[in-house]
Amino acid sequence: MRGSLLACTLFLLVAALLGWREHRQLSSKKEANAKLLAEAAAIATDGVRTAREVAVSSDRLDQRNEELLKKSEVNALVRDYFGLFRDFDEDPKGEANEEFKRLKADIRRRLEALDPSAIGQFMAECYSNPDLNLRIKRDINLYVRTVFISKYPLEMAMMMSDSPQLFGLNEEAMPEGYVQDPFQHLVYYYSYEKKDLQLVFQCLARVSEAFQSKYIGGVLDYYADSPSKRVELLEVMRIFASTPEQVELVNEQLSNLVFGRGEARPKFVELSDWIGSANLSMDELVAATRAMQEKVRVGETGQWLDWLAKSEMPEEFLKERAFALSAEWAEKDYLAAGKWLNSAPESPGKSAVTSAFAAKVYPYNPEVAMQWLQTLPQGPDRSKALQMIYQGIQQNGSLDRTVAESFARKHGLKE
Amino acid sequence: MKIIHYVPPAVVLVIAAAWLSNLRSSSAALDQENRSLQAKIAESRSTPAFRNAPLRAPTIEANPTRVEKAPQKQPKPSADWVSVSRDWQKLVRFINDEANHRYTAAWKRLEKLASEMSADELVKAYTELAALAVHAPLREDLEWVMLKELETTNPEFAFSQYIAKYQSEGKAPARIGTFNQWLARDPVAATTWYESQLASGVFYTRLGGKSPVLLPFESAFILSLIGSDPAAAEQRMKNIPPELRSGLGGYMWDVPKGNAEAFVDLLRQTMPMEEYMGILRKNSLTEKSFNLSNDKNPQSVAKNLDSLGFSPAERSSLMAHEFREFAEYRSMRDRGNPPSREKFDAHRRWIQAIDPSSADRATGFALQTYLEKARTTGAQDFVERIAVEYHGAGAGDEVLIPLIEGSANGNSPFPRERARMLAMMISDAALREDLLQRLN
Repeated sequence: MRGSLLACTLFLLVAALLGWREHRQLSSKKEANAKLLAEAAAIATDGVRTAREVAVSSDRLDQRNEELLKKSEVNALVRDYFGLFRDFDEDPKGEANEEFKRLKADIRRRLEALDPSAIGQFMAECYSNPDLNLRIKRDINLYVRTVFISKYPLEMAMMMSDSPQLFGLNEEAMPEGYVQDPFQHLVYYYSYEKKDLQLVFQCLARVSEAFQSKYIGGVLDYYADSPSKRVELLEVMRIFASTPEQVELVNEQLSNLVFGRGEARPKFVELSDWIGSANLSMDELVAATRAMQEKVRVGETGQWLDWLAKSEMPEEFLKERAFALSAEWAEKDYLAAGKWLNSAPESPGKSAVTSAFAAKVYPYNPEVAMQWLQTLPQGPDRSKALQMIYQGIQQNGSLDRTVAESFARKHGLKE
Repeated sequence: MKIIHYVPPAVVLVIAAAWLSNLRSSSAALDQENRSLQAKIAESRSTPAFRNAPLRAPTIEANPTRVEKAPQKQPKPSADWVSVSRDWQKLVRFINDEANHRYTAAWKRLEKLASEMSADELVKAYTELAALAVHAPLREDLEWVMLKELETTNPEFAFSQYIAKYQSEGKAPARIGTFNQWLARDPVAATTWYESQLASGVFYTRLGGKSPVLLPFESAFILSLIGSDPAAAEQRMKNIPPELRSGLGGYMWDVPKGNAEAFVDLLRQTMPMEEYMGILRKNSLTEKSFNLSNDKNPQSVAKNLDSLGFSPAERSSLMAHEFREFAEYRSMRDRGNPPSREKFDAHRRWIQAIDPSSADRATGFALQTYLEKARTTGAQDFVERIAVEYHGAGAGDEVLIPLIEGSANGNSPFPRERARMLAMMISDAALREDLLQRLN
């Protein structure tokens, strides 16, 4: 019996020891599992909160203390910052003073240590400070551009969009004199200096529509300076355009992307080659060719009209483009436009060209204009030209009102 | 020990074994789950989306067809050949995709090569360039480099290309090479070529026959004739449509000192005063006096105006141009800052020292310009205060009139009620009544 009890005790002791070890291992694995689950959840939901932060967030008291500490640090920083300018305001040497420089370097070090939420607090504190003046605004603007934007582009983009008044980006006013637009700087810095298109468009994707509309053009200015970069930019813009508003915004930029907006006007040979290689969809092509008459070389209008005819663009748009192109052409080189008309085969595009040519030439040579107009059947092209001619007569101060009335009667136009 | 005594230890052993086994299997399952989670997290961290963005951009990254950043350009082949190459087209293709082509060795080589090539080689290269799909800024630079060389070796071709280029682009030329030098060097050849261009109708392709492209050529002829045959110069000027004449200013900047009087007379005879004083304001004859960065002695400026024989009306026009430009510049500098009264006062004093009789009118136009450019209520207060103070200190009505008229005709963002207050201060009763009526 004693032997039995001893054996039982021995077994229980060994089992308890083994069980205790296993239980400890299991607990630590459970803990690791909880952390991993939290980390995975953080990545899945936001990607920003790291496992360490989750662990911190579990301890609300600690977090609260940390926040209070951070707030008081930012308050102290703002106090020291404004104090620095106040103390040296009367100094004749001003910002050239060595002590001033040393203290500013210290401020910069402290600013570099701020995280995005602290930056937000810093900006809000600065802009609600009654001592804020243009000198300090310029100085803050410098830190925003050189410290905050280069460290936290996405967070700063959102912050500028959410609180534009804290960055001199009020709706009604341009940034004040000599205070640079920080969002424009962000676009410049990551497009031109860092060549990181993805990041620029990630920033744009997070800001308001007004900001997207205002700043997207900057990417073209700072990035699209070679044919291959224009292709690359087109790809990224296509991905960016995920809402109808963004699609429209990108479409508005396509004309500048395709035809450029620099001083040098591209030639047909370059543009047609590039458009062919860019695989533009029909919607993109229609958007890109809006107001193309302002972008192409007028001497190459004939080539563009031929290109339009082969573009398979819907007739409505094709005619609109052909009309605008040839109105400009007739104005600047009516001889070449007439020559093209004489040799071009009949087509919807040619009807639009005839209409524009007749309307433009009429004030200088009504007979020739009317002869061309007679080649058009009754329809929208003919009516459009007649309306333009009629309006021109009405606006011509040297002509009697009866001339316009007679023209309208003769061609059945509403007076 | 009876057999029954073995039962309790056996039972304990079985229970302990089952418990331990259960603990182990739970531990193994957790192990496996943790490994799987670690792998998934590591995978997520290694995606470009995560690397590039501490925060996710839903609009871009949610798109499954997201395109990765374009692959880095293949390293270019060795560029040793660039510094010695004579293959123009190969060099052009080599730098066609360069963003800053002007800073490349290939561009330096192209510039040097252009200076080494014969006129025929350059003409051939220029013609071939037209058919190449070259990026517009590079094409522009290449064309300039080639045409600059050809201006001396084959001027007929070079200047014909300038005309074709500007006609095709549909814009007025900012510059058109050194046609004046060709005209001086070989007047017969230059004139014959130009006459042939006129005869071909190349300048008359626009409806109405007015092409600004002929202006730089005509200005070269006019300046070459002004000293030797002023009547011929005047005739050339009169052949240019009046509405294009003010456009000549940009091409007539450099007037030889000896021809100053003849030049001013020519302008007087062929253009309205405001138009030709606008040209003279931006001209070698006067510009040094009025450069904003110059703190020119007013006495020397007045002496220069005397030497040019400007009438009081011409001086008044010139001073108004000058002060308006200053005001435009100040409105730009003052944006976001308090307007600088000191700068305005100093400039008025400077103008008073040059031509006292022009100062009030010029000040009035300057205040109106400042307001038009600044378009702020702060600027309204600023210009009103200056105008009232100057007038109160003895300035003439002219200091007030531009602001009042600008408000009356809606050209100036100056409120009518404030303009009425200024109009009440006009000393000439008839004028005061007229202005008040226009403000009603």
